[in-house]
Formats: sequence, C-alpha cells, structure tokens
Amino acid sequence: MPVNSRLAVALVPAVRMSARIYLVRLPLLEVRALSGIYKVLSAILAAIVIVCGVLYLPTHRFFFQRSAYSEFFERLPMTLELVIASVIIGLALAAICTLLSRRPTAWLGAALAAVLFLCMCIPVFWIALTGQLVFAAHGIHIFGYFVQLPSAGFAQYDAFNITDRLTHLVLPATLLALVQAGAYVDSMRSDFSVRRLFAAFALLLPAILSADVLIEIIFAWPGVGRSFFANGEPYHTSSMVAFLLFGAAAVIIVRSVAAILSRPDDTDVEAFQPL
Amino acid sequence: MKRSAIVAAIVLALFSAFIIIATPIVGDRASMIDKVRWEGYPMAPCFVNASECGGHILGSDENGRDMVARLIVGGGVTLGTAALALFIELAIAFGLMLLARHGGPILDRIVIAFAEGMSALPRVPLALLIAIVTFATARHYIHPSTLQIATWFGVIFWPAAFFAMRSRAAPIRFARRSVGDLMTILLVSSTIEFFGYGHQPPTPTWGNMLANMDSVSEIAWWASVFPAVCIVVTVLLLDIVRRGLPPVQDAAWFDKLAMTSLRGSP
Repeated sequence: MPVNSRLAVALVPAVRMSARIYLVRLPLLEVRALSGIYKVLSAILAAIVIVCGVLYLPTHRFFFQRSAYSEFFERLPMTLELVIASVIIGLALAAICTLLSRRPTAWLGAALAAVLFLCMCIPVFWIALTGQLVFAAHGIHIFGYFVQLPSAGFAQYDAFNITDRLTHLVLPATLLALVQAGAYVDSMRSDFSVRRLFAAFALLLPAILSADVLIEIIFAWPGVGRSFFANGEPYHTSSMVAFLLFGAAAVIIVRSVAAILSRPDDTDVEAFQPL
Repeated sequence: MKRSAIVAAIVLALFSAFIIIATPIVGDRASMIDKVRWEGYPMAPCFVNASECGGHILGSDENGRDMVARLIVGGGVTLGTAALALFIELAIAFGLMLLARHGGPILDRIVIAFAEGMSALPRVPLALLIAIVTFATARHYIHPSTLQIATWFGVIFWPAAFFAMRSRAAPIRFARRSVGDLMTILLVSSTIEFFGYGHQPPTPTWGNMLANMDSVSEIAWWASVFPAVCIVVTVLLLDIVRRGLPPVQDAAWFDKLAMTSLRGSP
C-alpha cells in the first residue's frame, strides 16, 4: 500500500470522526448534526461569503501596490504577541482572584473580582486612553518608585532587546487582559475545568479581537488591527475585510476545538462579550 | 431572581424615566454655548470651583456647553438607540427563527450555518465596516439616522438572540442573552461613536462626547469622565440584572411566564 493511501486510510476516519464530534457536540455552539445535502448547502453559503471577501481583497493592491495577504501576515506576529500575552495575564489575574477567594482572604478575592467585573463594563477605548495618560504620559509613583512606561509602539530599538520589548508590551497587554479576566473568573467559579475555561475563551474570542483592534490603534501597535487605520480614520476597508475573514476563521477553528473537547452538559458555558 | 437584580432593574427604570422627563426641560441647553460666561476654555464643575462654574453643576465641555444637559440628552439618544437596536435584533432573530422552524430542514440548516458564521465575526471592525461602506463618501460622512444606526447593530447582533430562541432552555437563555446583548450594544455603539461614526454633532451621545477625549482630558477631566461614568453605571446595572437572573439549568422558573411559544425545538 503506498504511503499516500495509507495516510488517507488513517486520516479519513479521523477527519470524519472529528467532524462528527464537532457536529454532534455542537450544542455548545447550539448547532446540531448536519447531514447530506445540508452540509453541502451550508458549505456553499460559507464559500459564497468567503469568495466575496476574497474577491474584494485585491482592491488593496490598487492603493498600496501590495497584496492584503502579505501585509496581513507581515503584521500577524505582532498581534499574536499582544493577544497571547494578554490571555496569559488575564488567566493569571483570574487565577489569583480565584485562589484569593478561599477562606482567610475571601474579602480580597471578592474585591479583586468586583474590580475585574467592573473593568469588563468600561469601554475599552476609554480605559486604554486613560491608562496611556496615567502610566505613559504622566507616569505614576507606585510604592516609592516612579513608573513611566512607553506610550506607543512595540519597540524602541531595531535590535531585539527583551527589556525594551517587555516594557512596551506590558501596558497594552494588561489593558487587553482586563477585557477577558472577568469572564475567566466567572468560568473558574462555576465548576472549574480546563475544557470549560477553553470554551469560555472560544466564546470570548471575537470580543478579544475587537478589543485588540482598539488597543493597537491607541498604542500604535504595528499589528493587523492597526493596518486599516490611517490618521485615526479607518479608511482601508480591504484590510478590514482581511481582518474579518482571518479573524472569523480563527474563531471558528478555536470554537471547533472547544466543541470537540466539550461534554453534553457544558451547554451552560457562557461568556459575556464586552465588545 | 436575586434581590440585587430587582433593585438594579428598578434603578435603571427610574434612570430612564428621569432621562425621558428631563430631556425636554434641558434639551435647548444641550447644544447651546453659554456665551455669557464662556471664556474659551471648559468651565469646571461646581464642586471643583464654585465661584467660576456659572451654574454648570458638572462643568461644561470644550465648547462651553452644559455637561448635565448634554449627558441627559445624550443618554436619551444612546439608550434609545440601544433599545431600538435590541428590538430590531429580536425582530430579525424572531423572523429567521420562524423561517428556520417552518421553512423546512434545508432552510433551517442554512440559517444556522449563516448565524454561526456571523457570530464568529469581531463586532467592532464589522460595525466600522458597515458604517463606512454605507455612509462614507469620498469627501463627506453622510449623517445616518437613529433608525439606520440601530439597524447596523440589529444586523450585527441577531445570531445570539436567534440561538437563544432556538435552544432548549429558550426563555431563560433568551432573557440572559437579551440583557447581555443590550450591554454589548451600548459598549460597541459608544466605541463606534467615539471614532466619529454614528450620530453626528451637535447631537450628543455618551459615545461621541468622548470623541475628543485624547486632547481634552488633560485640561478638562470632567468632559471625558462623566460620559464614561454614565456608560459604565448603565452597563454595570444591566450586568447586575443579568447575574441575578436564574442560571440556564433551572429553566422552570421562567417557564411559568407565558413565553412558551418562543421555545425552540429540543
């Protein structure tokens, strides 16, 4: 048996099984088993939407003399750096809050949870601009130390410098983490498990992407979210379409993984989307 | 339903009633410059500088317009738009739910796939895209009406309500999602208006009162803090209501209400 067909023999059942799990377990996303012609129809519908978006993208070349894809993938690492750092900080904040909510420090945990829930209700652009004003433009005295972080950009020097990168990262990443931490606290409080936490993250992901756009604009972070803004105005609709298509693809992939991991009684997982 | 949620709902209702009653009283002052006392810079609130506030309890904005009047009128516009958007969203979701349930299995699957795809899109870039594509021309930004703005958000937000109407514990899910969606609509719409889309000046909204905050907040903190406080308090009250609703598991509480016709197929 040639290697190709052996691979196919191994892969086809795996793909079919995962598709089946996806479609049967999809109650998490509240869709149930598709079969036969419906799969084809929904695939055609999705294809029409995607083709319309993809056909629109070449207009990018008209203005920028380069394709939307190359610009997107050039900027993607910066966005991933920001989003991954923010998820780590958000999970750390939620974990601290959950650990503190045990007996001797329960009031501290409750106070931190209240702060995190409050942060979820504040418009992201407002908290970002205010954070920039306080921590970057003016600087602040914390425990006798004067802290002043960089106000914009992702690095000062061309050469890689870890301190330089981290000082630029900490403020935008923390502000982006404040969007998510409240939802993680909610998820950790109702019977905690990694799969339910991941499901909450999957439901929250579009909101994280939206907030990421705002944070990148305000902190001049050179990621994909910033690519469609010029002079404070979102002119570049082709870049926006690229962001929406790839963002939706990422969300669907993450949600599929969450659906595969989920159990039938996980339908009560919900995450409030601040954006 | 928790007592805190009931209290929060009553406070919200009183808040809305206050805005409705006060809007015609202060309506003229919201877009009127205080030519008598304005000297070219924002007037401080009375609790900051009682001698020079000139009767503006929360000060004035960078153009010398009374903050209290603008907050009240802007609150009416903001909350009215959000409520209208929720209504449109529910109407779209209800129509598509009927289509999905009675239009045969094929339509059902198509609508579900479409809703699943829609709910994966990040809302702020999508709203910005709709706002630009429908209303921006090469030189001008056409003023959209409240109904048009509400329609943008209705079109963006319907999938959550659709899934809630279609699911097993429909009524309780429906209530939780509706309150959550109202919160999200408020936050997204204020973000869109912050960028200068949506309602155009001189119409005040809590979002577009913050549009100049990057330059104004250093000289007049009140001009950027009070609209944000209004947004945060409203969203927080809605959050308390949402958290006070019973969890999805015990749907029996809500089944007593006569909303059984909304319940989806199992």
